[in-house]
Amino acid sequence: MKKIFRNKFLILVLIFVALPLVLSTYYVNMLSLFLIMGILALSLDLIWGYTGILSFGQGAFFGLGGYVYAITAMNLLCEVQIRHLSHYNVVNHGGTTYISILLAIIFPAVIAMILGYFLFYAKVSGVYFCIITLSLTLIFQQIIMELVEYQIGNIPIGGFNGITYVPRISIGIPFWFYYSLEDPMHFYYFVLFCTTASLVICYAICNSPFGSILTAIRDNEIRTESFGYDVRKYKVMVFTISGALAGLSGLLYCSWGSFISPASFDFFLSAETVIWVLIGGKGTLIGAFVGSFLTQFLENLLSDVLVYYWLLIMGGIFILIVLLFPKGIMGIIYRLRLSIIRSPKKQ
Amino acid sequence: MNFEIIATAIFNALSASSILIVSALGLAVIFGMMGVINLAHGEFIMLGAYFAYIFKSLGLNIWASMAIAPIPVALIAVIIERGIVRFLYGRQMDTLLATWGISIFLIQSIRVLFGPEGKSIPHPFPGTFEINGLFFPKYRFLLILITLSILLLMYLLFKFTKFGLKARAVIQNPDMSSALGVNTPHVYMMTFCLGAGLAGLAGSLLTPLINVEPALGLKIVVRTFLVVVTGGTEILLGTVAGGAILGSTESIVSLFTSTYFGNVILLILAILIIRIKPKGLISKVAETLK
Repeated sequence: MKKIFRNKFLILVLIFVALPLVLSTYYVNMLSLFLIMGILALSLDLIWGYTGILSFGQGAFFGLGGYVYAITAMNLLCEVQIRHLSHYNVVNHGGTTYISILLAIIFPAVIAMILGYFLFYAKVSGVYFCIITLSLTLIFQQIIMELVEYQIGNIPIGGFNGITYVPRISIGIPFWFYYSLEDPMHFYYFVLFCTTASLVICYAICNSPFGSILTAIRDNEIRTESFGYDVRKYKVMVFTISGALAGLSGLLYCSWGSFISPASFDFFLSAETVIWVLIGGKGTLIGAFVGSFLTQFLENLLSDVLVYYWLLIMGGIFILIVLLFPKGIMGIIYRLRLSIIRSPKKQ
Repeated sequence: MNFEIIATAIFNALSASSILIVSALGLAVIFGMMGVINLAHGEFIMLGAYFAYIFKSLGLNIWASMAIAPIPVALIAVIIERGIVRFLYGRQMDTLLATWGISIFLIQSIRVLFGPEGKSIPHPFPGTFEINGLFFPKYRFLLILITLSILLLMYLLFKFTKFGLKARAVIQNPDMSSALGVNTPHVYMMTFCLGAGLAGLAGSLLTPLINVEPALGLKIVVRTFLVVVTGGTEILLGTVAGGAILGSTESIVSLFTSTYFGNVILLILAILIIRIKPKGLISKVAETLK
């Protein structure tokens, strides 16, 4: 069974490696975005689908990752001449962005850990956890919007306008050479690498003893606790990992558009992330990507035609899925496959 | 500390608390009864504000339009309850998600119907009154009185009417009360309707203070969630306690520093309260619905 999964996964990755060769630059860029958002959906699926904790805070960690990346990368690599508030010139000296990438993953993870420590050790769960994380996202956004005149290092936070001219991710060997991933195709391969790595890591986590404990917490928290597992500790750990993943997605997004603003992680992003995971099927990991790809592809295709009606339709689909298909697309696929296997074959 | 600062601080705290309490009450009714957070609450508030605007545009008196705005909101809520929410009782998380879908749907419908820009409504009660050289807006003072009377009415409703008796029975033990002949689904429907109506009333009462736009619910709703979650499931006392503590702390901090800092303090305070009392300040929840 495991081998079949590995083969299928390899084929999928190979398809994604080959895709840019046949697609136009526009679609390569779009594909990168879909993968980045897929990582965000993955971070939610890990904590919601596997551990049963619905977090609306992924948007906040996403934004935090983006902001940390933007601020550190610009402070380290660029010279900024400020003319007036959000009008500034940027001269990029170049260099590798490893430090910014690391910080942009670690910082949201640490915040998630602190928050998780506060909430899970107080036995905050269910609806209460949702509301606290939702408030966190909305209040974090409000705070950033009001930080108009402040700057960190040389970089003005910019309030609603956000930070622009964020340098692309650049790789290489520090102090020797660097290569900035300006080419959409090269950036796409970097994103693909990150996506594959996070998917493999999540798969490994979910199939380890640690993952079994997480599933046990989801299925019956009290019983897991009475088996002697410190449920709180595991919850904090998985929340930290999911915060780190959301941060990774945020920094990739920020580098993708060389731009981050409070509008990048608004209420609708959190809503959409939940919709992606629901549509794809929660608790399947790959479902998060299926959902985010399908939804974003349709959105890309239809939002020109539908404009306002798009979110209206999304709201409707959201309600229908909750009512009728709580297990999403992957759930339907699994059920079909099971029914094929179970149906008696007549010889 | 002189008199002026203290008086301003007290008035601001009372005013902020009353706004919070009146906008959280509808949410608290639904949360206290069903143990479910209605994520479409902000949109019911928004609908209340829009209906006040519609009735005013139709030529009604501003007070009359503010007074009858909750009725259509409650009717919409009945349709939503019958069509969607009633299939999800007992599935707490799914109810939360479905109401979130409803919230997106409502925001976007209003945006399509009325456009994304804000609407203006004439102020029903402009002007200020003066105490010792300090000026306070009259409408905010009126709002404090209105909040108190709504709370009193709710108390009477829950304590002295047949619906209140049934509702309290369902809160305590839904299975037992349904075995004793209480039509539980009907009580739930009435509660959802009442909660939405209260949200609509909050929306219409707040129109003079806020900009009437499709996303206005999102701006108010975070605080109301925090009020209800810190307050606990006891509908009236919990909301008053949560609203008073959060509202007065935020307004006093904002007065001495900035609104931005007030927001941060609000969130931190709420997290701290939940850290200490995870089920809220005042809480009695039906065991079977948890």
